[in-house]
Amino acid sequence: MKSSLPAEPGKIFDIHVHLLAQPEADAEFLQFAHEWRMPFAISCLGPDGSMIPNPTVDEVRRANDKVLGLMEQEPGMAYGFCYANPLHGQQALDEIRRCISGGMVGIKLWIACPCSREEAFSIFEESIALGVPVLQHAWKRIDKPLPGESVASDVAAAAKKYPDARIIMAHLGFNWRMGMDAIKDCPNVWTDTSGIDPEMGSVEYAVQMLGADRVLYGSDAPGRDTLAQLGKIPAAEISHKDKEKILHQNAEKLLNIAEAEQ
Amino acid sequence: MIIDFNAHAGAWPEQHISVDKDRLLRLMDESGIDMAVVSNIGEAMGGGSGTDLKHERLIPFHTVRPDTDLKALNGHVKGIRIYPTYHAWGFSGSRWANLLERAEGEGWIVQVYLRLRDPRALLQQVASADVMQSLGDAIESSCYVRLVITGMNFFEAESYLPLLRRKNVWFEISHLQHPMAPLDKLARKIGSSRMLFGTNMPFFYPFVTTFRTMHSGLSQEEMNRILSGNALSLLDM
Repeated sequence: MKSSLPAEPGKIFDIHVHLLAQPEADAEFLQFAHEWRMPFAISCLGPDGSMIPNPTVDEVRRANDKVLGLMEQEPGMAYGFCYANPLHGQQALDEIRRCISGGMVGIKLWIACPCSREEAFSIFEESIALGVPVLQHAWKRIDKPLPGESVASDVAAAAKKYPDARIIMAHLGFNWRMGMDAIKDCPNVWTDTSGIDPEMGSVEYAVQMLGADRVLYGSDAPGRDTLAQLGKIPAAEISHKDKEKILHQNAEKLLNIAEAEQ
Repeated sequence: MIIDFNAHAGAWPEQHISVDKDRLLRLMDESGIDMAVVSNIGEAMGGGSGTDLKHERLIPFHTVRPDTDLKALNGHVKGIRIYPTYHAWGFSGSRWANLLERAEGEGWIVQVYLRLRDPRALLQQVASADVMQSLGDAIESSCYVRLVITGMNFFEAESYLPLLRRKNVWFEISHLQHPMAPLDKLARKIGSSRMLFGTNMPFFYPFVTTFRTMHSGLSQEEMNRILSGNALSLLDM
């Protein structure tokens, strides 16, 4: 039987977690993170218990305040990503600066608008100026996309326009073959394994197309079962060394987190 | 011991699926699985060739499509599989009644598939919710046939608790992907005696179900039921 290793306590960093503002679900995730001694990158997409695709300025600020609060409560565990709505223009940039100066380490974009649209450009410019990565939702579904939803080709377009930006394309782009094919020639794009079913071959394909250095473990918890997400990495037919990179080393490098800090 | 109640072999080129018996057995070994209930994916979804499934560790089930001639099926299997979200079945007509009658007569388990992949990746002809609703109504009059609902997600399970608590209904766990700890939560709500270990290989990594079951918060007794105890009893083994 395959070994559960190296998906073991103290050797995992989850790059894609949400603070749902649902006390029970959030507490359940935190308990898991502590049990597995697993630090995580976290964003909040709505301050009142539901994710808001196109939030107001006030909703964004209150959501980010919750993450700042959690970071204070969980030092060395919670690494905040600032939720931003590109449609807010200058106010979005002001909010990003506020959050990064408050200790957040990245920017989270969801589905307010596709990231290849002009409205998103200033967000990538700001991420370069501040030296933080952008985590961009990407989901290529067989049926109709959600309004404002990005797919891998949007991420690739943004990455090519801003080669100095560091972008994490979430969910392997959902359709992982199309997703990896779209970003393979964008060295400034990483991908995370979060939020999709544990489809056989998906992690191997990501490693084959991007190299293990550009693949990050993520769960999309607490909405997703952390164990089902985590199990993909030991399950994949890749080397032990590559599993370690995916499980924690790549994220620590991308976010400039020294192992000793954890 | 682990028995996988949800495995396929064979080929489905459109979905990049191709697994012969040797590969299936290797995947089972890598995931700690001793035996698997298995059928040919090509027979279910068309377009691919079948593969030989004769092996002491494999428990073959027949694939039944709406156009399958039931009379032509031999009785030397323990169960049959239907795919009503992908094939337009309908649970109120004569085809369903005939199927139940034959299943009852043969002592077959009827395994009902809701999904093989996320519906946003593989379109369903009939939504899972519609199938569950129809199945719930139909099963009221079919209390002697043993049903295994497969590929159900957590929210569907929560919506059909009375159905899933019935003594002749079991459900398989591979698609319980949301939210955190779905196995533990459903064991509390429905009871571990209704739950069957399943991997959905080769669509999913089979090791994932082993990993998540072993690391769950289930008691050893609950785990033993899910990993093999319930399956052994259901399969009369």
